[in-house]
Amino acid sequence: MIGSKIRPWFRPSILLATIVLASGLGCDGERAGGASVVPGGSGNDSELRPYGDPEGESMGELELRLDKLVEKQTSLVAAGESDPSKCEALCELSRAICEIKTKMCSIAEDRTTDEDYQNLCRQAKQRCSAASDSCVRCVGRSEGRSGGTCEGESALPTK
Amino acid sequence: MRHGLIAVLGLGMLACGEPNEAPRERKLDIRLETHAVLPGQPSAAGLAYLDQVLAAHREADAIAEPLARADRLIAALELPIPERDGAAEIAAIGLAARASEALLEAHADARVIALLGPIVPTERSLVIDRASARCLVALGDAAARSGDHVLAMGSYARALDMLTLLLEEEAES
Repeated sequence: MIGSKIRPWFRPSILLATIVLASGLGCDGERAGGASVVPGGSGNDSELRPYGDPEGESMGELELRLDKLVEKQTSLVAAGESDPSKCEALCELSRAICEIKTKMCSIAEDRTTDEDYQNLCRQAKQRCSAASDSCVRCVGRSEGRSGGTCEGESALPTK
Repeated sequence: MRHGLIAVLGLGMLACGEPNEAPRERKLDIRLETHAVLPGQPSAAGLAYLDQVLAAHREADAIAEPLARADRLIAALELPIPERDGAAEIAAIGLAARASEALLEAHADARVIALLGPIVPTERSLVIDRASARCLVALGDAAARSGDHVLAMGSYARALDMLTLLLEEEAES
């Protein structure tokens, strides 16, 4: 008779709620895993590889990404310092990257519901921003070294 | 109860579906395979090829009309490219870039797509060079003007990758 006092956990209402919850979690399974977006949109384009590195959403993952970007930017700036002609090359490439970013985002603007296009636009903006920063810092330091700028004046745009 | 479960599962699956939007007609293809050209002496055949390419560029310089200029450059593209010669490979892709830019100037977008389609397909490894990026941008521009946003976006994304590689290469050199 003791057993009759125990409430069964698998009551139909609880089971139903569990199924609904599980099916809902299933929807976000890929996103929760931090998988990068595979261009193609329809979900059955297994021939394509994920574009770029997986981009996590947690603070730890974002911090790691930021560190990597800063590291890369530092190396680009350092390269410009060693040879002023590098600045010219870096800035020319930076301009080209930003021109492409404008074109890509213009296409993406017309298709706001297409996640692949939005992701590519976002990525292009990040690349443009990083390349521009490298150019500005390279030129600023190069001018500073040759005495071309006023002391204490930053070549970087204020944010 | 069983019918209730089926209904709930069905609703759950519907909720997982794609948002209600018109599907893209074609897949985006942004694959970019690249290779670098190692420094070295050009072969005799490579030098002869470079001379011919240089002559084509000089003749093109003197042609004001973009279509005629493009035709001169495209004629040079018919020349056999010496194999295993990096300088010749870069010269050839440079010809294609300039020819396609001249075609773009003349608004011959279909010709740009026809010219560059076989030169910079996603299946082919492209030499890491500004000329490759120029080809990809020209292909993107022609596709965008023709209304082919899938090809345009794919080509621009590949150009962006190529330029990023060049930026990194520049920093490391």
